Amino acid sequence: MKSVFFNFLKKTLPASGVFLGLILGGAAHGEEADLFSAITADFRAQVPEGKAADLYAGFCPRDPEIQAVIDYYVIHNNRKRIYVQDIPEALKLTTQDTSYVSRNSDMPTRSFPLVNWIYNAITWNGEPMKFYYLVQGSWAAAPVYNITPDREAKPTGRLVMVFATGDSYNLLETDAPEFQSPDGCKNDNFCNDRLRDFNPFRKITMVTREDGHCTSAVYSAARVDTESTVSNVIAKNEVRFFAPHGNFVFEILHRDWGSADGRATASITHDLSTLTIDGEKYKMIPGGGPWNKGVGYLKGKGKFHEKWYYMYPAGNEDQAYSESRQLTARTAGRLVFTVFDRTTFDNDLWGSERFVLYPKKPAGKKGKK
Amino acid sequence: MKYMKSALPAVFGLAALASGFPGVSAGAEDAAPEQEAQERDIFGIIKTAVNKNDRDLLLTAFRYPVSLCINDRLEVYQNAEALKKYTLAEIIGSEGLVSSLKTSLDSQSSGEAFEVSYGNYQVMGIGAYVSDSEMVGISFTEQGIFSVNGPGCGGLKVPKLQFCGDPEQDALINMLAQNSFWMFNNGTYENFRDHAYSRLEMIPGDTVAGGSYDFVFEGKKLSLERDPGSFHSAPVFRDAGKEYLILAPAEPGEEYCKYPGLCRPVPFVHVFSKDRGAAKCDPGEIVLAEKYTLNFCPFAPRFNAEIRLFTEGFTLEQPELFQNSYRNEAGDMALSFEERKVTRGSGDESYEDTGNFALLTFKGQKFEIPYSLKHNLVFRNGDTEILAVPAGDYERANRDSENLGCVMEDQCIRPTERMLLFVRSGNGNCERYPLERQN
Repeated sequence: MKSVFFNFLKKTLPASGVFLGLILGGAAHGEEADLFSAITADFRAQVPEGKAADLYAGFCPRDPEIQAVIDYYVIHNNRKRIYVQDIPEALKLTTQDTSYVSRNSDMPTRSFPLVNWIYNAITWNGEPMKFYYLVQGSWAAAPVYNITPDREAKPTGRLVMVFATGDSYNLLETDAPEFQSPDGCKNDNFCNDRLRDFNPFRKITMVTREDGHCTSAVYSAARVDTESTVSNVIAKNEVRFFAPHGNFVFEILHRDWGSADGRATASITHDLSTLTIDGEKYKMIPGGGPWNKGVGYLKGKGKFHEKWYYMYPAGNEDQAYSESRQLTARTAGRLVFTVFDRTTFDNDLWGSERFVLYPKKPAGKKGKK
Repeated sequence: MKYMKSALPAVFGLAALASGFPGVSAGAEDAAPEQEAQERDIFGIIKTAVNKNDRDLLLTAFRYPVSLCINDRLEVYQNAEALKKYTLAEIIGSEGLVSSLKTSLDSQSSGEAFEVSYGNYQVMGIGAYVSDSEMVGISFTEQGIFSVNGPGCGGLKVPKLQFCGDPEQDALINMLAQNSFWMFNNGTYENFRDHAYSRLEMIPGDTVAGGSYDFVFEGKKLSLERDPGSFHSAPVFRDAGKEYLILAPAEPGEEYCKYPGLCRPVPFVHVFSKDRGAAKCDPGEIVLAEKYTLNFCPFAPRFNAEIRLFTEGFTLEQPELFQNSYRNEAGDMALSFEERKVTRGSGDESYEDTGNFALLTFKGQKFEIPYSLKHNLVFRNGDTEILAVPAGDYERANRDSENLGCVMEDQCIRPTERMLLFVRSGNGNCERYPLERQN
């Protein structure tokens, strides 16, 4: 038990004095409360002139962690002109980032496609929040919306703020082709050494607020790794490495695939791919657009009907290294499937299943046309 | 954004805590007599104050200024006067906690409060647990109480910091500080890009009294002295000319101390610097990355990704891995393992033990190192380092050994089909060579 107590104590030692001067936080004055009651009461609400900074500074007064994130990105994204409205345009630079997904448990969320990217993104106690009314006067770097499940309904008093947060992991992976700046480095500010290749839209953050209480969720651009593998570092690394946005491209050149235990088989062709689990056959319907087979949902009669899957090919990276230093496609030797027992990518792992499939014939026929 | 939200409850949540705090006397015998007396004083003050519900007495024990979360509000209090608007129960957390603390303290002598060394000073702690949402840890040194912590204000927090004088940089610091892990992990962190080569060696405070940190910046080794008043999750270090604020934030969605005592290195460390006494920081921060899992080949991200793929999350217990031997096609590279008797200790204290060694032949050079199951193998020759990483199809490896633990936990068995050699020269450039298993 000793180590537990040491850990406990270590974790409870965050503040041992003051060394830097301080700002006493908390500006929950009446004036600010009025600001929030005004903008939550009316879909057409407008932030009074000169009050936008107060809107951001007082958004999550009871949650310093979330407020600190807002404080930073509001300044940073304003200065660097990283505007939420540019997300679809910015992501056109990429080939694989077709949807944002979240694993956050605080705010049950849905994955949503790039097109109409904000539509249907949030559920609140299971209820989809379909309608987003921009709060006039909020900033493009971190726009605030009034949200409601019903266009005709009265305002719910719920606000959502969205801003781009990038992906710290990718600070080191700057050779990957999809990490590009949104404006092609026309803006010198953005293109300092470290940030040149850092895509701020790799991740976005949504903060929801109701009665001064906030929750936040980080959405990753088509990175289901954080969805499917909450506690499995290996699987997470595998996605980083093999999935379409990762370091290697493996082409699926075999048609017939099967897992070692025989539970799952797949037939992958250009037109119609199927996945069979426990004898039940499902059609694989691409959900990330026709250009991305990796994310989709299943149609069939069994328990995985209309449930999502995430698939990526993997293989022996030795071939790719030896042939060329360029990103070269090689033949996939494995197909990794994660099948979710839900229609969302959330972090409830108990319903999700992972299947690793191998080519049925060592040198099989090409399934691709 | 709640990167660390589970850490505190997870530790507190152990049922054992409810039954009181067992004594931990590590290091107590080393304390100077007067220091010990002062610690007893602080402990005595807390005990008396809690027993007699004497708030004013408790307030004499604080080391001011102190940052506290009271009634879900995090503030810095400059003196006892500023805390007099609260009751003792509000300061501790709740009436229930005061009563629990009372029981716990009555059954302890000061020597039984647990103690750790952190940085360059010793810290004592006492605590009480009622429920996951009602618990408290009080930490003090001989100088006084410097923190009272519970799940309030979202758990572990620091008040707003001003270090750089630029609103964007300070906002970044505060965001990183909110999500920083309080204790840096063991490891070597490097950056080849932002400035000149930078390196940070981390030696955790609880194994090395005095907390030694080695920081090489622009080729110059610095000896850093920790500001004892700085925040644990956002420590300030100093040398003759500069001040450094060092932050180790967790990546969103990643946990770094899943099991008590088993922490992976926090992969990124952010360092902000400024001249001593300056109002503004040096431009930009340096982001360093953990060397042997993330940044061994700083100019070859795909190599790094492959190293990470085959390094993180595998079980440490896999002795059979070291029974294989590996070689490349050309035959000028080979890796094998050897077990032999070695003499440890010296003189009368010496004894025979079994030593395990890894032997590498690389283009005519021969290397030999003792190996441990815990780490990747690193062979060194001057500035050149060779990292050997076992690789292959780990699905197959885990299936063949019926290792079901691989699904949810970080307990996958390493594949043994191949051994990858990453050869890094002093300037950071890497070459990669795969060796195939021979047996």
